[in-house]
Amino acid sequence: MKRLLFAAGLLVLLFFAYLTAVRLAYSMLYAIVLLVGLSYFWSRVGADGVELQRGSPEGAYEVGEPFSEPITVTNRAPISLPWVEVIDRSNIPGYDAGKAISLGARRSRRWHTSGRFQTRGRFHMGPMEVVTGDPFGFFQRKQQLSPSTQVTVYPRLLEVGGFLPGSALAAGDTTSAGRFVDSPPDAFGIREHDPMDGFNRIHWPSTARMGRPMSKSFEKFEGSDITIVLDLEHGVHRGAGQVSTLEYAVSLAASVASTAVNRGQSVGLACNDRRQTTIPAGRGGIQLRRMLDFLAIAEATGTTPLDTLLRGVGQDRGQQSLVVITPRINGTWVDRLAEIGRGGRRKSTVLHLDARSFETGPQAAPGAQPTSELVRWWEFAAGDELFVLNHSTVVRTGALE
Amino acid sequence: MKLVYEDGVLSARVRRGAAGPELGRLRLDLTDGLVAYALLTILMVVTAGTVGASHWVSHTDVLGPLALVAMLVTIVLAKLDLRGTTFWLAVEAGAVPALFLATADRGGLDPAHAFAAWVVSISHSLELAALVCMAGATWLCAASVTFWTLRRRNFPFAMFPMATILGIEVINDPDQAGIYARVGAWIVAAMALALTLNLGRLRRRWRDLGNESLAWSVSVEGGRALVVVVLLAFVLPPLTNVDLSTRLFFNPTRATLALPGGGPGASRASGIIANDFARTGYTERVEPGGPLQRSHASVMEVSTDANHSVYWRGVDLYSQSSGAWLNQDPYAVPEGFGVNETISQQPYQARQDVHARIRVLGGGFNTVFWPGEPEHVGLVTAARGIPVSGSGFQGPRPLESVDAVYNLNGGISAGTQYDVVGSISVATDVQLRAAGNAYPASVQRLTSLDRGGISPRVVALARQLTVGASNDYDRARAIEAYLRHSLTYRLDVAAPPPGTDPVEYFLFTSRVGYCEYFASSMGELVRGLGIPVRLVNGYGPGVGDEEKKITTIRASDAHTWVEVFFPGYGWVPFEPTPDPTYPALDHTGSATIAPSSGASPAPRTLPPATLNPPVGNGHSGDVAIHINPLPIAVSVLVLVALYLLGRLLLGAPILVHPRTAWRRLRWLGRRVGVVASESETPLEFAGRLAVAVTALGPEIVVLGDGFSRACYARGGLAETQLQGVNEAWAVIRGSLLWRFLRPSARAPRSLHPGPASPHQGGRWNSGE
Repeated sequence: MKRLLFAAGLLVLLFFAYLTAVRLAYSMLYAIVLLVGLSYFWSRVGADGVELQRGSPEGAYEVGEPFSEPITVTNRAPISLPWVEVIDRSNIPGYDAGKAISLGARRSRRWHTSGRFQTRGRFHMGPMEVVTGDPFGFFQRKQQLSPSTQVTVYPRLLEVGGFLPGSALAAGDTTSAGRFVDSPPDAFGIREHDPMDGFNRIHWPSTARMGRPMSKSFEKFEGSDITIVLDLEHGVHRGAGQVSTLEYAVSLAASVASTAVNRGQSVGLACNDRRQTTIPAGRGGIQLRRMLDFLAIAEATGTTPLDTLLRGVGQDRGQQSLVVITPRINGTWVDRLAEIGRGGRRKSTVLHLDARSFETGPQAAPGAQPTSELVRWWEFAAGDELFVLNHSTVVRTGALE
Repeated sequence: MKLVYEDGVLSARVRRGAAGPELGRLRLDLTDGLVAYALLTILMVVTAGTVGASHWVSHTDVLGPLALVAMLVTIVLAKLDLRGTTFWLAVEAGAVPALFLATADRGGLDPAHAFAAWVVSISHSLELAALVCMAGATWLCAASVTFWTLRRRNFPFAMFPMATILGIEVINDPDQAGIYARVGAWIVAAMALALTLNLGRLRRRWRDLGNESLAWSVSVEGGRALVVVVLLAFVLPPLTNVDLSTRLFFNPTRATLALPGGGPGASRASGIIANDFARTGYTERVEPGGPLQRSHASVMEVSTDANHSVYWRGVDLYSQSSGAWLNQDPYAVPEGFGVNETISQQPYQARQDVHARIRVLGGGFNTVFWPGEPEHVGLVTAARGIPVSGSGFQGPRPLESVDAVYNLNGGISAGTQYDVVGSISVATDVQLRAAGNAYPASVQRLTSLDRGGISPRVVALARQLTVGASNDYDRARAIEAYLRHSLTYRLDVAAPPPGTDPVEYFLFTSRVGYCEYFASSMGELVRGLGIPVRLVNGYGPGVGDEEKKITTIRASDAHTWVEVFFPGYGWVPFEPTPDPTYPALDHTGSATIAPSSGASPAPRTLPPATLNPPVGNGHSGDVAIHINPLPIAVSVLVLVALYLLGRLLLGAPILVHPRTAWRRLRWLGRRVGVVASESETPLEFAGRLAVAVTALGPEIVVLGDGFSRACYARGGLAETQLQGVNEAWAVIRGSLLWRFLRPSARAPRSLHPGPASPHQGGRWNSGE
């Protein structure tokens, strides 16, 4: 409508200028036509000559990890561009690589932007749009010049080795009588020699180094498998943003998985999210990446109670140890866990998040800790030192392959 | 009440008591910036001022101040936190008092009575009603401009009403004084406003982006574009030179001819609008007065068989009194003539017949126009003139000298076409000098006509001017030359004080005037010497379409000139007005434009080549292209100087890239005899050049180093290094250029490098 009105006005002015041959009418006509033509030419030619290069990060990162990217905008056009808006359409929270610059004819500008991945998830860097136009604001041209790249941000990884089953359950690390006929051939560690040990148990290099006899201990594979049970039922979690039981729980789950894989243990994951995701136990980097990929986007969307989830896991678990991560207060699920422990011959571990500490409003009454000896209970609260940012471990896709 | 100004927003909070409840809050958003408001106001005031300056009705001078007030009010209303409907209601409510204050003649009445009188006056006076309408349109236009600019942010739509009004004004009154300046100012202000608004809009967007200080670069680029556009708009020639509107439309109102101050002549031109301003146009009297404005109205379209332009005679004026000349020849008598009947036969020498066809464009008046002296016309007419005195003419009716010819059937309507035959003088100055002063009896009576009313000072001046002149022709030429060269032609002159003789006032006090001043002055000066003289009112040659041999005569071509009688040759025209469109008439026989009278039994044809006058010398000057390169060049130089001055005073220096500076250094080095070799590194060349031009050695080394860093160092040059390179280049540039211009300062040829050796370093990118 605006253009139509403008064109009509221009035609009328041209008609009357032509008809009357008034010099000044022609001057007005020329001024309008020149102004609009110049503006159009400026925006058109200028926009066509703009190029953008961006060195975006790709692959996998960890929450809290910094990143940086160079951005170069080049003007190939023979006219200068008084303003060029570079708009970043990335969806990384708290990050915007956009900038408004001016560009001379056949000049380029380069700058670096840096940021930090603040939340886990899958994000796209870009695309980037370039908006430019004439100084009078009549014409603007927007074009997408840089494709987007994908970034997966894994949960923060913590030092959780001390909370896990595994090495503590290694075969042969006790001085119980008898030979471990079924001992696996993989040595797990060394310990002081016991006279009851056979000579084949003596680790001679260590004995020579220590100056006293030292015995080997062996890992028992089937006993060191871990299944992480992550409670992702909707409505269970408390807190917001990074200080929430969900983020803490996901971070703990990722950390447990990472630690177990690094130890060479087999690790699996069972969740009660909407899709009741289950990752069968496995070893190695691929298994870890599989789990981290899921944990990067895990949300508390499930409707299945933890009790039900545990019942299912208990039926399938065999000799695996369970590591349950939940903010849920004491309830029937603890009894279920104890029951599993009784039937399964292995103690379960609970990494419990104190939901009260994540709440800003009225806090619920504390739940009683289970007294069952079959469950090892670790309590975590908001702001625990463990969760203070400490990047001892950085997981990258490349390292995982 | 507490006023708070924060982030461009002025807030007024009204509380009851110091800590009482808040009663109300007023918020004035001024984030657009005062520049935008000022430009908006300028645009509106210029538009209204242009309309007002045309004086379509009386007292339109109020439109400019009214526009100023309207802009102030509507800008405040637009920036208050009001709904759109409330804004328009407030605008309409404010319109009534504004129009009343602007257009009412309160005349000492109390406001209520004055308002009532004003309302009644509107219904009774068409002119006041028109003025109120114009003022109302100004008020609403201001509101519309403000609303669409500041509220809706729609610049093109906001400009549309103003541009339309200005365009209409330009087309209808292109000869208005100062209209070029107004329209130029309007275009500049509109572009500057677009730039300002866009900058404000971008700034708001840039708040979210990590931005540089872009306002300056946008302003500079926009300013450059503005200069280019405005220059081109006014320099580019128009697509057409011929007014085609007269062939499509017949507009009687455009052709009605206003008289300066009215007068007896008005009785013959029906439809005259009596105003207290004066516009150029044909009249049947000459009375020098106040300022004139050119009227662009088309009057008639003419074509002749003459191979030169001719003046168009309307009426001869003999009787003068205190500077005013009237068509009151006491010896003239009226005669009726049929179609193509001979009106006059003149017994004079050196005449040439001209056949003309006239098409009336602006009807309503009954005067018949002629090239030269009337002979025949294809209308039934009534002529007024001096009867034949007896010598050289046989017959009762034809006149010896015709003062004016009128259509006997009343006003000639627009579209009427008639043919006329006229007689023009082609007498040469040699003939005229030898003419003597043996005037016929009918003319002799004129030598003393009203002579007593001429001021002694004027007569004394006439004698002083003609000292040394031995004949009447030379006397007349001396007076004509004095008037043309010693006094100034202008339309916008002040009227002589009441009771003052306009000619005396013009000759001895103001010395500025238009054709009526010049013609009446020459008339009195010549008559003061006892030479028969008359003034002629009519039209100048107009503007011709060379291809179609058609000339359009406009009201702005209306003109007064002087004719002096020479025995044997009749009335010979003189042109005392130094209007550039009217050159002095040449009586040498080499070039003649012929407003003429008299009759000749044996017309003499002049060589065609000598008769071609300048084409397109219309009064209005808006049709023919006269591009004078000098003013354009001066304008360009002034603009360039202003630009450079602005950059010097305001602008940050534009840094030259080291590659560019290096490329120029190599070129300049070559000019002074130091040629860069492809095998040289930049530093090697800089070292060689520094040795050759020792005075610039440090700067050349700095430039070479800067260029190397710019090309090869990671991250390029730092800002301070770039500035250092530029400073060095500024020193080098002028000095090397000077050396280049002075051959003696060039370096010897021995400074050319020898063949490149392998250990001299690798090839380098010269940057070319």
